[in-house]
Amino acid sequence: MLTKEYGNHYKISTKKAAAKPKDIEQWRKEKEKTDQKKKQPQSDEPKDKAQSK
Amino acid sequence: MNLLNGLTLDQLDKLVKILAILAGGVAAYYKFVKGRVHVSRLELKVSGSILSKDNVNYLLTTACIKNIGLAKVDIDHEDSGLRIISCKPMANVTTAQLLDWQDEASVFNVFEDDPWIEPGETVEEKYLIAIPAYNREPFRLQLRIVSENGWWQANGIAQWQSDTVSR
Repeated sequence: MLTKEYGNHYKISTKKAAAKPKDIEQWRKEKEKTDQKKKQPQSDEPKDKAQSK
Repeated sequence: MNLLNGLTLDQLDKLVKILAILAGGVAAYYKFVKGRVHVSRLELKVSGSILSKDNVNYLLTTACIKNIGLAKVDIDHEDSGLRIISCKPMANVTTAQLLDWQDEASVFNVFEDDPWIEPGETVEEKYLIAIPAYNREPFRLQLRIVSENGWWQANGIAQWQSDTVSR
């Protein structure tokens, strides 16, 4: 893919490459994992904080 | 003789029409195929900054898509996303070095309310993501949009806001 860089902050893609990215499976797995973490109940941090007090 | 002339004119008329159709076809081919007029084209931007409030760190990310083509682009939400990658800890840095990024990352859904992007349309969304309290290290941002006609990606770096840096 050709990219055009603007400063150090972001690049703009100007042309598409293959129909699907090569690391698409990795992204899917990471997204699934992120979704699972979101669905999990929040950690016991407040409880721990209360205990430490 | 008149009949012959009439036939010739008729044939000439047909020939001109055929040539006009061929010329139109060639012009259309160059305009739409060679000129990629109806090829899907997106321009992506992603940027971010890290804020700290009440001992919690937040990554404020801005993702922007502009459809610079003349064709509608459908977003494949399953494979599109915003990827946040933290950097590997660096120690004993004495010369300029490129940062190494962690192999594991978080990927979030993006533009869930936008099934497609119309030609000329610009869509921008902001995401506020709670992040772990590292030692004020930057994060790498990757915005990727996948459609059935191709995919586009923009990369960025999220930095700490200067006014939140502890002294």
